[in-house]
Amino acid sequence: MLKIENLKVTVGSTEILKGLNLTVNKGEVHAIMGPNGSGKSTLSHVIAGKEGYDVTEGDITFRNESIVDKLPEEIAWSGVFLAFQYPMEIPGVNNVYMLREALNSQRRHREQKELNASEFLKFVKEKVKSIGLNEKLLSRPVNSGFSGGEKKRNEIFQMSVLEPELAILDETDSGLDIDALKDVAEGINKLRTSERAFIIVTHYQRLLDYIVPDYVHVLSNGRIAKTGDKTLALELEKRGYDWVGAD
Amino acid sequence: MEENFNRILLQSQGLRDSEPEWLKCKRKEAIESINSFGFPTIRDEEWKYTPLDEIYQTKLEMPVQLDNDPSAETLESASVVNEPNLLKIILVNGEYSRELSDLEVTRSALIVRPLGELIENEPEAAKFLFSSDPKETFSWLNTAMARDALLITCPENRTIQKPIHLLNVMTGKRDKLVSPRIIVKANSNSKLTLIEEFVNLMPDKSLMNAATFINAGPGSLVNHHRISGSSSGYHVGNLHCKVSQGANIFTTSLAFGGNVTRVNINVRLEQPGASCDLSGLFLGLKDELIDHHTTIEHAASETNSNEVYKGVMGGKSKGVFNGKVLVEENIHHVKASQNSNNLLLSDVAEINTKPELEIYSDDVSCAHGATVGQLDADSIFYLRARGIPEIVAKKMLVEAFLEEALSQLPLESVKTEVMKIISKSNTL
Repeated sequence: MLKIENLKVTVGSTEILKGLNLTVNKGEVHAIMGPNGSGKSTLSHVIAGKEGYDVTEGDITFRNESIVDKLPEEIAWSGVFLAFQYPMEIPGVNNVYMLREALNSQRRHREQKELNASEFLKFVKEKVKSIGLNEKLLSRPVNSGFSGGEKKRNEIFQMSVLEPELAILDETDSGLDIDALKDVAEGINKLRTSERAFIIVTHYQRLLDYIVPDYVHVLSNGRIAKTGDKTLALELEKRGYDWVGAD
Repeated sequence: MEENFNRILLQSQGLRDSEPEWLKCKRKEAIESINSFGFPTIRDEEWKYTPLDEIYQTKLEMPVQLDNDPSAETLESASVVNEPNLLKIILVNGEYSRELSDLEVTRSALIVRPLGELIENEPEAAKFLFSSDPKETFSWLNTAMARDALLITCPENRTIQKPIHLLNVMTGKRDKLVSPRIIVKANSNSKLTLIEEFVNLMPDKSLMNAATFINAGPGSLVNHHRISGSSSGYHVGNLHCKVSQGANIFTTSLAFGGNVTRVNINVRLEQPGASCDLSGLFLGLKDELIDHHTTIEHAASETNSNEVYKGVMGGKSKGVFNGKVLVEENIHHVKASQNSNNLLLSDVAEINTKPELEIYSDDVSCAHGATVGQLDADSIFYLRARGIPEIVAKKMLVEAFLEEALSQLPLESVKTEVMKIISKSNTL
């Protein structure tokens, strides 16, 4: 589904990703771990099409199509969802309004019928229940004044509405206490299907106690330095990241 | 450069033969003042961002008598104000139209008297229409050229429930100079809401040179909204407010469209307990120039002022906000706050914002802030990553900025029209 080959990315004059390879198939959950500054966020941003990153070599294909030169909205329409580490607060833009625009843009692009306001509201209310988001947050401006937990839950809720084929969770556990973490993980687990793949980018192992990955990759110095199963995460938790590069 | 104005000033004199001596005298004085002070240029500090060459080069004419008034439908479609229960007062090319105005106006507690009627029946009251003359060229020009003037009086202790919609339209022959002049007297403890709207029905370079005077009597409450939103033409507006003991004035200025728009707002808090709230929104997406100069004079103790202006400038447009707050000597317990927040949507659009505080007393609390920003790139990416196309994402963010600016405006129809300007635009 997602194939990253020999990806080299620079920001300004600094090379951040230095020949990264990664293949994600449908239904798989991949955890990408690594120390600060190893390029984890760069990887999520580049996949999602954020400006300001230069792909100097290699390619990213999603469903057999290169997405390196695509716009962020085009990548979203093709079925990729990025849950942000720091979801933006957008005062003045209503949550439901934003999300309907997002879903209908996707549906327009896929030549599906757009949902009108009442159809959308009905659709959304079911999703809200299953994610356990406070329904009041729907009518508020996007993430504006939300607690850390509410913001992350809102990301997962948006994901449930947009129903992506590949979801990238960028440090979704950061800033969450243990209860909020459990809630968010539970929301994510509900969205796991045999068709949907996940990339979970995280510094710590604790999120992986609740979302069990099929693969754990260690990103170090712009490359995947080690790949293993869920036990690798536990080992990293015990031994830190230093030993990986020396391996 | 100024020949065009001199020509029209001369033209106007011949038409004034039937006027009473005092008025001829007023006009003559105004013309003399113009001749000695001249017209402003960018060399004048107050006008440095607003070149008027285009206006000076336009051969403006006096408006001629129309064969037909514009139809009610034309007026309705030209106006952005579409609220229920308005008292409509219409001025065509600066002249009060009794035919087009609501009959109900005459039945309400409001007293509406045009110049001619006052000269005939209440000559002393007529003089009041020309008693105030700010020392400024375009105000003199208005004094010299206003064909009509309208006195709107709200009797004491009366509340006018329905908002008064004062629609000023320019129409007919091309490239006119139109000089509406409105005097509003809110007597003691009265309350009224006035929506002043200026529209140009012709796609031309006419100049609407408007003068509005509002006297807020003791304990009165005046809500005033000023809207200039023509697709073309020049607009100079002078608004002068005097606020008496315990009176409040809220005044909003909305400006969008047009070629050059300059609005001078002067509010004088004359007596203790007087307060004012000024807010404004200017919006340019093409090549508009929109300039607001406001002055709030705290001339008495226990006076409060609050001012919030917002600008959104895209394309090649240029916005100016100059907010002066003057606190006179030997007064105390004065509070003033001013904010100017602006959004720039293109690399060539321009915003010039300047607070100007002149404070001559000690017991004063004054705060001011100014920001000029662009749309937040991270917010745009966030929305795009959800599948919202870039142009739509930008529009959402501009609308959000406007929404905040318009949140205090009680005119839903006007909000909708302003939002439409953004949603229709392809050039963010």
